[in-house]
Amino acid sequence: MLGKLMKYEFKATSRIFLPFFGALLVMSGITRLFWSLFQTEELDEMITQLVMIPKILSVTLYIMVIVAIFVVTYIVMIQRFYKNLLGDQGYLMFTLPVEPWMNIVNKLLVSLIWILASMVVMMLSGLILAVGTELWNEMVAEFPRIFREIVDLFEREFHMSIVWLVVEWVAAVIIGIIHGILQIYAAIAIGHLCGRYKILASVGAYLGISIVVQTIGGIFSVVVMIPFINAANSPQMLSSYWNLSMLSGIAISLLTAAGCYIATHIILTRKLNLE
Amino acid sequence: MTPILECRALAKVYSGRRALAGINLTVNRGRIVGLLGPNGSGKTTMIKLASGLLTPTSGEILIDGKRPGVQTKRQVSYLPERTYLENWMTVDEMLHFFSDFYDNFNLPKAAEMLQRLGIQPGDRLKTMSKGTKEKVQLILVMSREADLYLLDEPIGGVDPAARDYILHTIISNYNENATVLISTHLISDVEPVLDDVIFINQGYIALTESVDDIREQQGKSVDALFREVFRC
Repeated sequence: MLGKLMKYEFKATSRIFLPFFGALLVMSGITRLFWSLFQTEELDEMITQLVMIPKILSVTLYIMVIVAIFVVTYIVMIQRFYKNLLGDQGYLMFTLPVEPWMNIVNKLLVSLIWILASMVVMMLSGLILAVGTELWNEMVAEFPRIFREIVDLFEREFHMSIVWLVVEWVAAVIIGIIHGILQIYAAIAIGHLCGRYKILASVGAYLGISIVVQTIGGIFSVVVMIPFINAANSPQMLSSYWNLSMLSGIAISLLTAAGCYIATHIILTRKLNLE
Repeated sequence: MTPILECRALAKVYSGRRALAGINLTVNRGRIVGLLGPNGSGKTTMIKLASGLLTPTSGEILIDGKRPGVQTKRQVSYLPERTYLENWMTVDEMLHFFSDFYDNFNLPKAAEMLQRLGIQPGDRLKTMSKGTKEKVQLILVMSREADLYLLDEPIGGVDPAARDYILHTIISNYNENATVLISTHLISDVEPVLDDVIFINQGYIALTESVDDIREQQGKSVDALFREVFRC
């Protein structure tokens, strides 16, 4: 059943995301084209100024599409939860024979996948802009050396494996995204309990959760730091400090995500009141 | 046999306002039941409690002996008083949505009913009038082979010809072991199809009776009795 829900959720959201992704890729192509066509060196000043117009225009549009993707991701995430579950369409979604957790997990997974997908598309667009340029060629030439130096730096100096670092980062990013999504869901669900001032209450709930989490995170990071006050002197200490603060950050994110999930689930099962 | 719908001291309070005041009620199988009452009497609240969209403040509501949950949602086919369809979908996509999620959805039957109304499978819901959307929704709901149909104001917003069509669709599409609960305040329109009536007023059950008994013992139509009970 979760698979079926996700199938329809993708159907509903891809009609919004895919055109934006397409627009971004097309815009990166156009930008690239303008910048490579109008090589300015051999032109006189007048024309140099003129060709700046399409160049700047294309970059501006390109940036606008990127901003739009961020905004749309947020709007769709909120709207699909609020309208599809707590609005009129909730009358259908909550009378389907599926467990309530599936409705939440469905929205969560699909949002997560779209966010990761937009990251991939942005990287792709970066490649379209960069591949083959002089800067790119230099970077490619230099990359193996730089990479080895970074690996050496971490492994020899700080005794940290690069693989572990990457795993830590990927985990932090994915858990961070999940935490972000679930915090929005929890805020909307809490707001939904508050009769007339739902949107205001949702915003308040979001800020409230953020303040609590950041206070706890802040205290925690200070506590974690205490044993390592003199860490700067010893690379080994520095690496274990790094590890500990990364892992505690991930743990706090994970706990908040779990708390938000449980709150959302309780509200949608025991306190569900569609009007 | 367990009744298809049972309310035990069922109460629902919305932020201080009492919508249902601890009602006890049993609805049996194989009946067409009118849930009749003025606006704001608690009809919609009761139906939403039965479909699991609301949670009771106290007491309980049982569908085939079970509290609302995944199993009861399989058995209950619910028509809300608003449209819940996604505007961007086509009729055909909606049909497949229903047949994907409900084992008891009879897709050929729904397709045939839509065809008879001249609604094309490729039509998007966005392009339809409110009345057409309501008809599509009714067809989706009535094409499920459910044990209990909960129809909230199915004839509220449509013209008399459409009313006849809807009532005809309802009575010709449920099996004889299923129960249909129709909430409405348009009594004379539904009266001919009803077996039983439940009068509900300000959160209380005012009367439950079979239509035959009302006619025989009181010598009145349901409409006349309703006007008497709910005289302002």
